[in-house]
Amino acid sequence: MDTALRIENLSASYDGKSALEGVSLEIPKNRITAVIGPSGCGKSTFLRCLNRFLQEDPGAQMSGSVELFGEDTAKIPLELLRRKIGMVFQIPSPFPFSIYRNMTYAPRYYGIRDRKKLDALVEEKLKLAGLYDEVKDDLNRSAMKLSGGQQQRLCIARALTVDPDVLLLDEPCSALDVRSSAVIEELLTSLKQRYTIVIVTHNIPQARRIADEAVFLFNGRLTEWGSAEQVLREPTQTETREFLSGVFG
Amino acid sequence: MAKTANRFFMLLIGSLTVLAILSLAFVIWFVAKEALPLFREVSPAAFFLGTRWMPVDFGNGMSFGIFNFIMGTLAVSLTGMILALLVGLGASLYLSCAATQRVRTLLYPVIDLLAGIPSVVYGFVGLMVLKPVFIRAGVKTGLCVLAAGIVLAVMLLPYLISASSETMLKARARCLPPAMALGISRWDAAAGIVLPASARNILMSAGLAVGRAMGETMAVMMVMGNANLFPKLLGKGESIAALIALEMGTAVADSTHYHALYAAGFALMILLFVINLGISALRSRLLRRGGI
Repeated sequence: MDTALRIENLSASYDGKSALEGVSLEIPKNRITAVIGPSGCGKSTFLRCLNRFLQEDPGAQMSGSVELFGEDTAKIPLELLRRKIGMVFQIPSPFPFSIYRNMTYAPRYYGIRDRKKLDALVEEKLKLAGLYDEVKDDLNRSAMKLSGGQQQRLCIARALTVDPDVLLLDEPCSALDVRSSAVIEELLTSLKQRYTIVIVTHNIPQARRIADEAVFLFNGRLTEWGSAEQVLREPTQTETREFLSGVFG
Repeated sequence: MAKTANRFFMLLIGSLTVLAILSLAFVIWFVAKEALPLFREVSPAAFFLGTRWMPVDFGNGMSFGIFNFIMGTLAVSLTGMILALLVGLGASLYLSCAATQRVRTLLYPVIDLLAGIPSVVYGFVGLMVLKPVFIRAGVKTGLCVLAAGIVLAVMLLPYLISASSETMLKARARCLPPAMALGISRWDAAAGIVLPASARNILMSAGLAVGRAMGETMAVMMVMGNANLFPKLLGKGESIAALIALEMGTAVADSTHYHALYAAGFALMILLFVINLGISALRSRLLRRGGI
């Protein structure tokens, strides 16, 4: 099994306050890795270290190394790194433009101007995100008029427009209803054939449904990681067991 | 008991609303009533399109043409708006997309302070600072439309900046993270996403600012030169507001002059109404395309 991301001794802090300490693990290619743990345990911080998004926060610091397919991410130009590792946020955040313009903004930024190429790209990625059939009749409609679940799928499709290898999702379903969440879960499962997916989730049943691998963080430290089967059903650590059985959350 | 109190409160709110609408209606009615007698003596075409303004008969007869004043009002407002939008949007983009929270909390009170300065002070500063500059630049008296436009722009800035930077902050919070996660640079995202996403609300604040610009009297009057000429950027001009302020004190009540000044005021109201109508039409077009 290939390793997509190798994380070595990763630590992070905000304004000198530690949020993540000495995390080392590997994230396998073409798998869904779920990052779980109680609120404030550093899940989102962990995710933000992977595409160096943390550095956009002026008070934040990170140390340690993250390798993407054997290449140190600190040495990859930021723009390229962000293209290789896409990110989807908790709250669906389409740009307040048309669906088409949402999908073409980044490709145009990277120099694709040919209308036919753009059209094909929009269709391909929207299909991948399972949104194409719902919106194909009016791609010029404002993205803000889509439902929450559709908006989130649009955001996933938008992240795919720059052809990433890895897709990071930060609680992508927490603002959605059960049905929309189910659609997104199905979508992620189908996307793992082409992409490596890392998802932060609060929803343990969701992790059980879709994850191949699981990472349990507690107080900024890595408590346990391995196959989802093992971590989520037969955890070896007390904290994981207590968290999964709902002692704290 | 609660029901009676609720009802009383509803009644109070309702009557206050009616009072607000009534007082506005009364102003419009009063101005219209005082303006209309003019048109018994002067045709609307001669009034709106005439360029000779001679309210007192010195032998050549009286005439009341406000075309140059209308143009003067539009010219100075447009100049002021363009300058204020250019500087204001830049400042708003900086405040919302580049400045840290610390800088914002320092700068916002300063900007709000600008809004509290009386317009006569702006006019005075214009006279003392801009006039010499324009004289040196070759404008004969130093008083011109551009000078008034600059003073006006400074007066409009705080409104534009505080309204549009607030909208842009919201747009930034929504749009900047996903854009940067796609590898798009901060400045491209600011100009290409945050700015267009805020266009609708910027237009709304621009609409409010236009109202202020066209009605602004004192500061404009002090630096625009006040001559009945077709406005040129470096030439003198006179706005409707200045015309009314300068002449109302000397106009004999119920004279044609008096009614003509009211009619000029009425024309200013119509002008504003039309411009605001245009802006809201533009806004609703943007709304259909979707915005924040």
